[in-house]
Amino acid sequence: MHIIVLIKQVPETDKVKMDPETGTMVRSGLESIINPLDLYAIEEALMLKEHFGAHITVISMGPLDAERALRESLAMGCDKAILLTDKAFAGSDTWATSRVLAETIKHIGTFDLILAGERATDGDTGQVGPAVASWLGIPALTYVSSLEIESRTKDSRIAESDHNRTSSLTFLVRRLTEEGYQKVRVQSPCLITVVKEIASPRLPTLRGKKFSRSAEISHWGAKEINLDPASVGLAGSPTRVVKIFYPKVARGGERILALDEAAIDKAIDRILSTIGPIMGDGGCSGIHKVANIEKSETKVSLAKSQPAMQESMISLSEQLSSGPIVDDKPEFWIITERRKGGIDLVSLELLARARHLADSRGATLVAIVLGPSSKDEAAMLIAHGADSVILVESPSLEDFICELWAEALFELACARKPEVILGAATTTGRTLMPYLAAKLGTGLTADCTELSIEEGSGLLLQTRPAIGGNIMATIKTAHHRPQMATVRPHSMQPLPPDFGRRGSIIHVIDDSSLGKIISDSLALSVQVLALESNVKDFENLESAQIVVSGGRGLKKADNFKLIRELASSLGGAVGASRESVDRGWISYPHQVGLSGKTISPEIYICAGISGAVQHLAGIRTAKKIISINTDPDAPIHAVADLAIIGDLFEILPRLTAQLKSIYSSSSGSESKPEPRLDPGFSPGSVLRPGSVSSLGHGSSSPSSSLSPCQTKDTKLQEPDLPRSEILSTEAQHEI
Amino acid sequence: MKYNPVSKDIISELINIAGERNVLLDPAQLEIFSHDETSKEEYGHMPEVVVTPRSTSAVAEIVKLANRTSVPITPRGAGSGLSGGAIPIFGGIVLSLEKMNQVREIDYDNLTMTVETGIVTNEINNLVKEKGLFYAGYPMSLETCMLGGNIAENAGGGKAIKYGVTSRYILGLEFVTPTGEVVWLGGKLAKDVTGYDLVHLIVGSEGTLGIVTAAIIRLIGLPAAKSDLLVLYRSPQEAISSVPVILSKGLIPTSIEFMDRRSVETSCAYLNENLPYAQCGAMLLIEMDGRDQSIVESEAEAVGDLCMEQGAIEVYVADNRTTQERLWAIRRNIAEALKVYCPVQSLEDIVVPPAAISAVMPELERISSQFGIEIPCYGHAGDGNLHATLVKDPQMPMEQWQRIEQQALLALYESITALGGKISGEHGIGLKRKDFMKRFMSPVELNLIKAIKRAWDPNLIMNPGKIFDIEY
Repeated sequence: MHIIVLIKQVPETDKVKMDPETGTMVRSGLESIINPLDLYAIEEALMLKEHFGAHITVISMGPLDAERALRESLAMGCDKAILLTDKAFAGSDTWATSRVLAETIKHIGTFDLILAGERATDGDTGQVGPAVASWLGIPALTYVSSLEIESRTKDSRIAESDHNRTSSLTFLVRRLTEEGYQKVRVQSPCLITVVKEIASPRLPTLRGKKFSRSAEISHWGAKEINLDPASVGLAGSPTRVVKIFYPKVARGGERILALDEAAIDKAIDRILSTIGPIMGDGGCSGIHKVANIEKSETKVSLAKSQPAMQESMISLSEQLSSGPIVDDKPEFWIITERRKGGIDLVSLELLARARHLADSRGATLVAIVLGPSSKDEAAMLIAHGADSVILVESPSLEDFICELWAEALFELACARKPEVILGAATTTGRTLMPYLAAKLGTGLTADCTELSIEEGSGLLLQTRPAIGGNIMATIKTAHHRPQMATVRPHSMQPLPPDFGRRGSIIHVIDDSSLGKIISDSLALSVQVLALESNVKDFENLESAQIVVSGGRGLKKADNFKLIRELASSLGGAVGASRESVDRGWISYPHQVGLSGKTISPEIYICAGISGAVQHLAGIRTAKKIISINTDPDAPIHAVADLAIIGDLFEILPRLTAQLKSIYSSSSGSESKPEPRLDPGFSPGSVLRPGSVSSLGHGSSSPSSSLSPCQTKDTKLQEPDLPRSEILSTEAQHEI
Repeated sequence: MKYNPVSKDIISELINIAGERNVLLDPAQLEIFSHDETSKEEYGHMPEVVVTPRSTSAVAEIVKLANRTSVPITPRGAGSGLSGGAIPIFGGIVLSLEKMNQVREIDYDNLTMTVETGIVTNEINNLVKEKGLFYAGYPMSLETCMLGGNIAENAGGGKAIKYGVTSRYILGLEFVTPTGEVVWLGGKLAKDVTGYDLVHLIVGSEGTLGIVTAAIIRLIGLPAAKSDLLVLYRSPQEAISSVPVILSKGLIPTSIEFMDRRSVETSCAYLNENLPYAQCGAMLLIEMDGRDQSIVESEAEAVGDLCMEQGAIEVYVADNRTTQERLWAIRRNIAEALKVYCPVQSLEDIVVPPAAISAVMPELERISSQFGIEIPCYGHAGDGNLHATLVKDPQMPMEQWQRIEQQALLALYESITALGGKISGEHGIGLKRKDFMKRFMSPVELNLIKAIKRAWDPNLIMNPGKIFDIEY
């Protein structure tokens, strides 16, 4: 088996400086290391080598100094290293980098598997991996937390000398997504990016070190891989950094010294009053989340209350031949994500952002929905800001398979030539969008927290945090179309639904053209087997409105119960620092920070966490931070809105007890507190039309009524009702 | 010994000298000055008042006041000591130097720095790092400890094998005597035999001879390159026997840290570190440093080869800070990990001739089985300085532990004395080991020490009750 591992040499994140003139990183005087996430990829390759026999080639693109990283990977046990180094490569964005890497891999010849870390801790885009796969036309599986070879055992070793011949292997992988672990079967060759959970990196040995010192490392430049120097590096990069600025880090919040009883009481009061507005008045009116959501679903999903919609059907081939069908207005797209059959909240947030942008540009806002869907969902999207909704309803698109989705979107984009495509920076968006951008030959900016339209040029200004949130960079895609960006979830609220909005729905029929795409893509043999959502100790941190995190200060695994109890009393999620995850006190899905999740909850409470820069990188966009730590000099206190200097073992149990007493005295026995969210959506919830259809059809099973055809048939006949009635329907469901 | 309580008059005088904000009386504030890193329950004692003066003249005035009124006075730095040296065992005044943290001078021509002793030691290195300089008298307690405490204990640490201990870097002292006189001793001098070497009498005197308010410290060039080796051995004997082999080849590591099986297991389990430590009976963590990375790495390789020749199972190499941190985390977290297992323990600081370490290990096993307690052991193999730690079984009743602890310590000290060792290498005697001094130090030496004490501190007000008991 031939495994290629892509690694990057990165500066130690806590010491990074940027050149404000050029917008590039000042690398001098910094110690460089292998991107920590790439170490997991190296380790996984080494484990495969140990079990099945393999030849491992490590590739890195960077300055000459990056040879150190390659030598270290050789010392760990990799066999061969190639350094891509050329002045012409300098200043490459992710698109240009992935192109050079892909050309190199083509140049090397056959391989079975490409492994890479999920992202690099400096650029923090996660785009290069999927883009390389796109260039090579192979499947990309991202956020992989375990990898097995199917029907291979230790006995059937794949001779190392065979590394030039690609043997067909079947991998079983588990991807860590927001909803749980997605189990996928995939044929080699493919590209897999890994998360920390997959392996625990070994240390280089003396023997390995000696081998690595004597090993020759090939240096390849643009010439060696037959690329025009003008087409790589800064010159060949579609995106440009146009501005660098430093975000305000310190929040200058309130500090409370809680060392005695009275001060602890005061601290708890302040925590309660900080949480209060999120939890609802006095902490009790926010608890009816479940009811609230159901009613809001009812509100939007009843056919009566749908916005007026004009429907059309068009085949993809028709679309391709006829070109853009809308007027001269440019199209702005958002890629809709669905979960468990409903529209994900992040897509509605995306609509809110895109609505604003489309208005300033005078563009039409189009929401793209892939996979079987319903008109209810389309209505939902229109009510939240879309001008039109394109439904590509092929059942093969139901599960997210990156290359299938990218192929469908590629065809659609070639036909309609959108000016902007936005996706959510979710595990789906951060996989799909780079794959698609590479196909479309355009730039992509990852994980934006601000987007605006530049006056005059009408270009999309994409602003994102980089280097662990130490800097903000504004990026532009001046000469390539479409301009693409992923947007950090929860960096904006959805618009309140407006059921008076008009919009059109375009059904793209699964005709021969799309059918061919899908059958071709299926030949890639990516098969989604299952979604394991009820995994022990899984946490969906990204969509939680309240996150309570614990760190080393908890002293041992057992004490995480203090964090879990507080989180449960708030209806929040449980987070953790890297150290506590490393120590095995809690599972990786809980990890917040640079090598874990980046989150933007309404409230972030952390106890026993000192606040290393890597941790802070994950919480910069949290709305309110409450820190509890005995050390008055802990860096976390400097970024907190409310810093409690005190002992978590005294504060947490009392805080939890008080929260419990507030809720049990003011609400029904069975209701659990949940944060309140406008406009009526719960954190992480999906809006399920199914349950509503069940109202209409008298069925008790929400999921049974959601066949796409059924929905289509019935909905088309449903009459529009007068506006007044819609209003009254809404009014009934106001809480 | 009779001391006077801190009266209202004394407090108002203290306020006159230091200012109201620098005189603490609130019991909640005083509490943190009642203990150091030793067990609060076992050794803690409340002060009557804490003063945080900002100048040497204020320190001198306060000492004069204490001497005049026969009130005990206990100098204090960061409170990170491990022998109870900063605990005001007779109450009275705690004089905290935390606000005397100014840098008075950095002399790049003489490579010295004149600093007040309340400066956090780590801060010294931050200040001179940019200039490629380094203060090597730096113990392992990382972020918190202060220079004054390092001087009082003559702190050692993990780099002593190459760089020596604190005293090597102390050239001069600004000193307040127990009668309140201020004097400068030593200077920016490489050689000085003009009279007794009082500077180095004071360094390591645990605050019993007076208060050091400022020091001239020696700076050296910062070794920018580093390479670390983690060496796994089947037995402690194999590990220890590597040390003289390395040193005799002219290779001088910055540190040679020893960890026995129990320490490694506890720390690795605590850190969830997946190193293959199961078959390993002991580890050495060896650091090489220098100016040039490739030279340092090749020297480290030579050391690694020697270890393999001595029967090491495996040698891991760390050439960058992230990997180095990972290795050092195992060593640094031993104490914390043991505390999680059971917070009741006695962290010892024995020192023996380096070659005798092999002989210490079976003694520890013997004492461990004799008293039915665990004694994990780790420390500075290159210096023969070991932190054998007596750990209470979490199930053992406290009274039984207290009895056994004293007996086991006695047995431990007896066996290391027989090997030519002493009971403390770098943490000091303080309160914690005072009772053993009579037994393990010759009466002649103890009397000489007491005679010095009486000559310097006639009213015995300066940090009384430490190292030895003394009567008027």
